[in-house]
Amino acid sequence: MTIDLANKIEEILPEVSKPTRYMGNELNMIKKDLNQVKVKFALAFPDVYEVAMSHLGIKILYHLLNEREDTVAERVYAPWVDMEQKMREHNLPLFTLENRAKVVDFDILGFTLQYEMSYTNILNMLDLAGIPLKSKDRGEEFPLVIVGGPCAFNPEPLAPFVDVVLLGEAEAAIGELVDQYLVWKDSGASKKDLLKSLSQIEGLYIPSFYEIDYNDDGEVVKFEAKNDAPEILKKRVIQNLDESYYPEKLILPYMEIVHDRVTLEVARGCTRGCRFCQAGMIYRPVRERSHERIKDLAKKLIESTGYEEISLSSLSTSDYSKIEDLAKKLLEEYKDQRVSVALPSMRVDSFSVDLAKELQAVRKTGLTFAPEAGTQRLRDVINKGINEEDLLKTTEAAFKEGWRRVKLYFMMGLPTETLEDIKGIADLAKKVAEMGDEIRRNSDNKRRVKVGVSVSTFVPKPHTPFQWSKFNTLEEIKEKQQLLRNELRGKDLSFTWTDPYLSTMEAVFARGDRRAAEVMQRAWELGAKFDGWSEHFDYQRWKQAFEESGYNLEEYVYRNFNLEGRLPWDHLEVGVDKGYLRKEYQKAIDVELTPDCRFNNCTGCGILKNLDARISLIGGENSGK
Amino acid sequence: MGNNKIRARVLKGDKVRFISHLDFLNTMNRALRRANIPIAYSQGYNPTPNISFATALAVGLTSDSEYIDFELEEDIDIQEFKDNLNQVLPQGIEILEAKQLLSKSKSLASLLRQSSYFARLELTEELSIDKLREEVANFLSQKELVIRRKRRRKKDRVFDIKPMIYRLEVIGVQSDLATIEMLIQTGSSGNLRPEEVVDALADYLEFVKPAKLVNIHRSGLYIEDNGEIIPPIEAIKR
Repeated sequence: MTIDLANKIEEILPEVSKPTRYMGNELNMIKKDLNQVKVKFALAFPDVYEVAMSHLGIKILYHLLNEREDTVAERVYAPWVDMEQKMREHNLPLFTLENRAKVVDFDILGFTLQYEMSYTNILNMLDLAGIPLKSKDRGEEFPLVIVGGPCAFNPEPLAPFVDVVLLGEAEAAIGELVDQYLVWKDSGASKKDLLKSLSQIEGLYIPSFYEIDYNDDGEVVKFEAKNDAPEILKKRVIQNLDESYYPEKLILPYMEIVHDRVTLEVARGCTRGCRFCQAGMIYRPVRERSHERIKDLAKKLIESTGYEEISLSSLSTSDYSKIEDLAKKLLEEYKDQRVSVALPSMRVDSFSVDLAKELQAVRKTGLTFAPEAGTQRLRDVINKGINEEDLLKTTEAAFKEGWRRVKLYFMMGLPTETLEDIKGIADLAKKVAEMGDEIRRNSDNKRRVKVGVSVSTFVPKPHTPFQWSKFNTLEEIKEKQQLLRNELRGKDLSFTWTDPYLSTMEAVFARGDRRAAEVMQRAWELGAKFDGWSEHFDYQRWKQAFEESGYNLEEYVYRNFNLEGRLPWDHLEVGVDKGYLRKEYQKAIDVELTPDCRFNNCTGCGILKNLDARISLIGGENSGK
Repeated sequence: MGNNKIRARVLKGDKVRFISHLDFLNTMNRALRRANIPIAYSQGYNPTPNISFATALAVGLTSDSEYIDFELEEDIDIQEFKDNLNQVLPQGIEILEAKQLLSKSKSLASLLRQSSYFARLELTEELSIDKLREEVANFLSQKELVIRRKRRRKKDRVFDIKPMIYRLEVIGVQSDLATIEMLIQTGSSGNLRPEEVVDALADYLEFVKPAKLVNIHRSGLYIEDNGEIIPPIEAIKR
């Protein structure tokens, strides 16, 4: 049967675009005999191959799970629309890349939730696999459907569709989950028994065990835990990142993927405390890997892949202890092999042009900075902690060193924002461009500078100080974008913005509750999928889905969240106290800064106490050895 | 630096038939790094490994005759080169032959003249090998074999391919499948694609189905060397 499916897939591949997406068989892929293992785990990413293969979390889990002799992990990604059409035409079910086996025959199907607008792809993939969408319609014969990842900290819009939500860092809990699954499988007990036993593992949330109801403002008015499930669910964290599992081999794709390089995670968490940033809150505490471990991993990963680039990744890589030291050592080590070193996520206040110069010895590809807001007042509101001087000083140095392309990231729609702040974006960008042009005219490099201004629309996220903030209306967003289009004209300037309708839908699901599930399913039935891709996104479809479900989209997305009320995600704990978030929100309104606890006193977010965890800044410590 | 060029004949098999030319190039570059082969890099702004292909293979085809020239920074034993690379290459890609290039030879691409292919024909009816041979002979005996080639954002090109077909033979027939072999013009002075030959045949013979790329295998490339047409690997002995 499997051989039959594999052959049929082979037959349709020549007829679809980029067949490499479905080929599998890449270097370092792990293919086991499915009959020789006890647990078959399908790791799913609800987007297309190039995006999915760029995601670090799945890589870690893939190799970690495959280390177990009793378990196999195989990959499955969303087939692009042309492939889906062929599969449906030929009645081919969703299959894994490794053994081209039917996903429906797996024991566990795990989706990672990286982006709200990929949720409809989850429904589509379940449907393509021949798996009932709703948890209540799936018996023991179907895979256990679990989700994890950053958006899992508010999984409520997906509640009816998933069996289990894994909160926090999956490496910390996935082994216990598989162990418990094995015990259950041998016992022959019911699916409900399995869910009951899983609900006793810290970090595992079984949405069907909770009855939740809301008032029109989205406040939780009824919350009831059943089956002895805990009332409060805490996320799981790796206590010692340096000793935690990291793959020494990575699958080397044949086709170019979005992040086509060795991704080496140097640290987790960020202490900066930007008030809009969900990652900054949910990935606490900060933990670093040691220089020794990173150098060792770099060696093994280059040897096993042959990649020409290593990216030292984290939420804020310039904050990593002695980053210059590490980058220079790696650069030196791999110079002869022509392996370059990239540092993404650099802040303007800790960015070193000298280091950037060394990293991009010949090719000056362009630098990206994120001031996030156009005026100092608003930057203080969001606690970004950088000032105009930092930005001008850094870009000046970069232009003088020969860089000509600078990209600036901003957000619009932030709390307390006025049109003054929006105009501030244009003013700041013009200042940078004018300075760049002057430097150009006085230098040998006569190529014009290019300042790209990218302004996205702020979407309030759960578990952040701005989780109560109002989302801008479509009219407000359009007015602000128009203002910027008018202001940001000029030879050396370019302006890109995000689709206001798409941001609106992101806002719906980011802070959505269980009522949004029905709407999502209706939208999917109307054809919604790949909503994050502009060529597939259709706002009218969503509007219709809302209407048909008896809700008003605008009322839903603009609903007021009360500071004192119970929020739809309040039972899920990321470790940062709600009182701290409230205090930070108040400080934002009062334009007060909160310093970084890496360099200053503890700011009292509660993470260490709540998770019994430790901050670990060992990056610097072992570097001398 | 000495003259450290290696010419290799490479297999692109079934498992990698859908990877593009650029994917193939990247795969080779990364394999060279894994195998620790001292490949030379180009000079200039954005140094890239000095490896050059004779020609690109269309996505979907397999081939046992992809020719690649490698320029190395230092001498390396040819057997070691082949073994080390084969050890790290993914399934479906293999160095079949490798030889040291002695003279400073011109680029493979500029010398390329002809290529040969096996193609599987799908037939709508069963017929004998003699009958098919007769029909192919009739096809070839036409005065002209005019085809239309679609081009992106350009007018279609209509041209006669008869002078570009050097050999077209029926190798075998088994029920509704037949195998043909062809030798056709390839390179900068004129380039015919194997699927165009199959499609022309399908146009002429109603029982032959249109070409499918997965049914075609490249079996040889030929370059011009001192007025002679030879496989690239043989140019090395002189």
